[in-house]
Amino acid sequence: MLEILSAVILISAIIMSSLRRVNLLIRGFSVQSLAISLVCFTLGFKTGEVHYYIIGALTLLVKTLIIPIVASKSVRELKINREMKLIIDGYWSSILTALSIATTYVFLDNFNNDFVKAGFVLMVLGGIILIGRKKAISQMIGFLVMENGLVLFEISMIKMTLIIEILIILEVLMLSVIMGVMVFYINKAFDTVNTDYLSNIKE
Amino acid sequence: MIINIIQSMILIIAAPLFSGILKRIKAILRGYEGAPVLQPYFDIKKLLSKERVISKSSSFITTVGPIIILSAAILSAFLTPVFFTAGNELIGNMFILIFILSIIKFFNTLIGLDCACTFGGMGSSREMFIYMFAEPVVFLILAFVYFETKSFNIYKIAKLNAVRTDISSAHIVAAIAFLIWLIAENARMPVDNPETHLELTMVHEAMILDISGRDLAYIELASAIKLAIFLTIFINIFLPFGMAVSLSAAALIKAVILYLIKMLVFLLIIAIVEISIAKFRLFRVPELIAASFSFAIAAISMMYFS
Amino acid sequence: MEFILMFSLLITTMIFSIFTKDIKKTAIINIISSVINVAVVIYLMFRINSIGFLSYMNNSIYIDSLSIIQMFVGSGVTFITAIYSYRYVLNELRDEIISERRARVFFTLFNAFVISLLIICISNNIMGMWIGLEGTTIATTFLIGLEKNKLSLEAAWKYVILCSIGIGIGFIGIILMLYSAGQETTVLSLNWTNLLNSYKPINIDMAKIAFTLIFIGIGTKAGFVPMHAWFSDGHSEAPSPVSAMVSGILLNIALYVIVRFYIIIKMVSGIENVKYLFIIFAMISLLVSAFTMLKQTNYKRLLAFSSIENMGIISLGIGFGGHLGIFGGLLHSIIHSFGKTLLFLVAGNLVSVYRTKRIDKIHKLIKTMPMNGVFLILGMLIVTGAPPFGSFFSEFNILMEGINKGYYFAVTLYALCILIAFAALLNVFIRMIFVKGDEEEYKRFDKDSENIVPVIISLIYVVFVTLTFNNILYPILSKAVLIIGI
Repeated sequence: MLEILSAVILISAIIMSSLRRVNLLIRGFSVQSLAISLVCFTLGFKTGEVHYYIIGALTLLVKTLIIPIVASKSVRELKINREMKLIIDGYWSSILTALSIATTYVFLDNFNNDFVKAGFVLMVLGGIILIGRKKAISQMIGFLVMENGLVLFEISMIKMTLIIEILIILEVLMLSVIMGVMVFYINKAFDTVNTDYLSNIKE
Repeated sequence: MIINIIQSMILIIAAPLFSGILKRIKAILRGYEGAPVLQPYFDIKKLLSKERVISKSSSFITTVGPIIILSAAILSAFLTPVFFTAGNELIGNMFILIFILSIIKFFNTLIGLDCACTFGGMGSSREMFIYMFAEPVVFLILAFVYFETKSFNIYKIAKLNAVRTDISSAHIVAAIAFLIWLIAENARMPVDNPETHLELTMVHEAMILDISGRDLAYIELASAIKLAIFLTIFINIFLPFGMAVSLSAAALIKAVILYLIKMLVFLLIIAIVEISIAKFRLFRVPELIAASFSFAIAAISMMYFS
Repeated sequence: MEFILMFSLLITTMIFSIFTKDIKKTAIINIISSVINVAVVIYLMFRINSIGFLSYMNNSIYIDSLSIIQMFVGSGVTFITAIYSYRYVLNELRDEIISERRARVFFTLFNAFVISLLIICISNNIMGMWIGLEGTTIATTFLIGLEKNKLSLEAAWKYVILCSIGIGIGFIGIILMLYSAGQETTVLSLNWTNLLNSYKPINIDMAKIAFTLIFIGIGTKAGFVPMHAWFSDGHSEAPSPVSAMVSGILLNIALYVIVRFYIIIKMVSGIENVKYLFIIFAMISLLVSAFTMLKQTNYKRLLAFSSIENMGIISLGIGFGGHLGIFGGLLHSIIHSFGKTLLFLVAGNLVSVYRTKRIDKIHKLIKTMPMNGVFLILGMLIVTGAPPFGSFFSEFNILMEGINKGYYFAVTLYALCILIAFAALLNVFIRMIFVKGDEEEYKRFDKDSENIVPVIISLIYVVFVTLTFNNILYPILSKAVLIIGI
């Protein structure tokens, strides 16, 4: 079960790193978040600790439902469907993905946990999505993928006290909500969510 | 030994049936009735009864090409396990299998170039363009399989994976990479549309535009066998559970039934993919294959560094 | 418990500002709570001066001299900006630049920001510090984008993306650092005081990598140069009180968190060389910011780059080590906070009169806004380290320490960079204050003295610190130096 879920997480991240259609990106993200929340539930079921369930439920609520719904709503309103010009195009971003995955696995050779590595890979791939896109909304998705990695990393690496873990997760989720709101405002102020227009501040 | 020959014969005979089933599923999913599943057999029979027409300006390549293609396809069918594997065969090296399958591609492109028709040349160059990107992927997948099972022999790989109970996540990722490669290699939907003869987009059909009669029958049969072989390889490497590893009747029956079910599931998946995705532009095909490349790299790193 | 008082006050103000439509009342309550805050911090300072450190609630709250310095700076700057924002927000409301709802959001987030700062300062839990840092990001994003025009939204977007990535990297660093101690299997104590005594990494390389990640990640918030892209935009586009707070408190506090980890890491034998991280990043920051300051056309951006330069000076002092170096760094961080607050508030006054941030649109300030002009010159002298002020002594101390320890190259570069920065600031401000423009005659604006009280208070703070760092504040500062460790 956990193997399948980690495979789903990785596959969705790799596919997302070369996608250019925004609504597919959002859908991939929600699938990934669903997998992560299922990972949390499975771990909770295995270890019997409560905080896994809480983290899982929060992820399920915020990342699989609220953010994708809000994001796809703004996609529909803006009629932006695809990135026309990527900064790193699909081909090279896949190659970059492959290289960075290999590097990550070499680097984290002496960790025995699958999810630590998967989390790190998600962080790197989220960075690639973030760097390679111009639209604010896909940059947001890239950032959220990074956050997913952070969550995976956090739940699998060390154990912390319950309140601290929940606070961390809450803050991470709050940041993603804030980003959603920011995208909304940017889109209102600029009539577009292309960050190409975001270069008004000059030296 | 005997059982290997029998299962390969069954695969060759059933290959047109599988493409018939695929066409039928697609027709049903699109909401019309479609041709009967045995239609490919009728087509081949009809084509075989026609006489050979060869262009005057073409060389010996067009004369011998279709036969070489068909024989390569049949030969590679004899190198693959279908539902039974003992795991100690001398034949079945994956590299040999892949290269024999490449002969099909090679002669296809030669035939396309040979008749000096513009479409043929265009199809050949496109085919080579895709092949150039797809070739490294299969070596990466083979490397993954080697890291997983320490073997390049497909019979042995199938046997080892058939008795394995746990699947790693690397296995799944590699399976996805192989699936994408399979689609690209067999000229299926996001890469090439096997149904149309539209000049601007066709790849595989463009190369065999000049072939007719018996030669066309050979090539059609060969491509049906090729699809069946690829799916079988996929099933045997990545999903070989329930495969017969001993020669008992119960195991064999179970293996055959499971094989058919798996085959039908994958045909269904391919059909769904084909009816739901539009064909990519030619220059976006490398993106798809690059995704497959990164899946393969991911699988290898997951397997090797764990 | 003083903290309960502080937190409850801040939270009450926050809730009050959410629900009250009377902005004037909210602003006044905001000022009152910040005054009480300052009083509590000063009381705590006296206590810490006598007993060394305070710890409450099963050692999860821990204050020593190092954190009380940050609290002193934090409460002071908060107090100044609270007074400033009273007039500022009312003016903006009158001019209809921000709506009444936005003003309420301003006060709410203002207090949320202060709460996060307090959490960082008093928390003994290293994850608690991280949570506080993340909280500052959450609070300041909308403060930077408060005006909701294109430029400020752009700045806020850059800010939230870069800072949250930085914080994420810092998080990985923290986790790796804990993991390298081989403690992954148990629920470990994340208390800073425990880690200080018991942190023994099994894998030294991993601990090195972990600290580098922490430094780079949290250094994004401190504004070190390769990660400074958010910084200049954020400061130039945010409302002036917000830039004052970010520049005066947030940078210091981010550096404070890094220093907390540095204290743990430098105890480990084998990785003493992490101090070069401070030195190298400081040098890069100094060089880049000094040369960028020469060609600025926007005075708030100029001030932002000056902040980067000053952060470079502070971390250079910490990197040099030694009593003089660290003492200089700490002193410089205090003086710079108040000085930069002063400058940003003056800049805010200029913006509210001229409605432009371009340097070449402002002329002859000495005639039009004499008071602000004078304070601009004073503030410039403060942040560049001119002799009458304490920053001179701090910069001089750092210089001396560098020469003592033999970092001749770094010291040369450092001296050159402060010279360039001084030249750049002087050039710009002289042009703004004394040079004549196209206009025929210059009349004095009425708004000149309108919002000058907070500026005066920050000058008082600077003078106070300058006068007392060698006597009254000295014990606290030198104790903090001992905590960081020579």
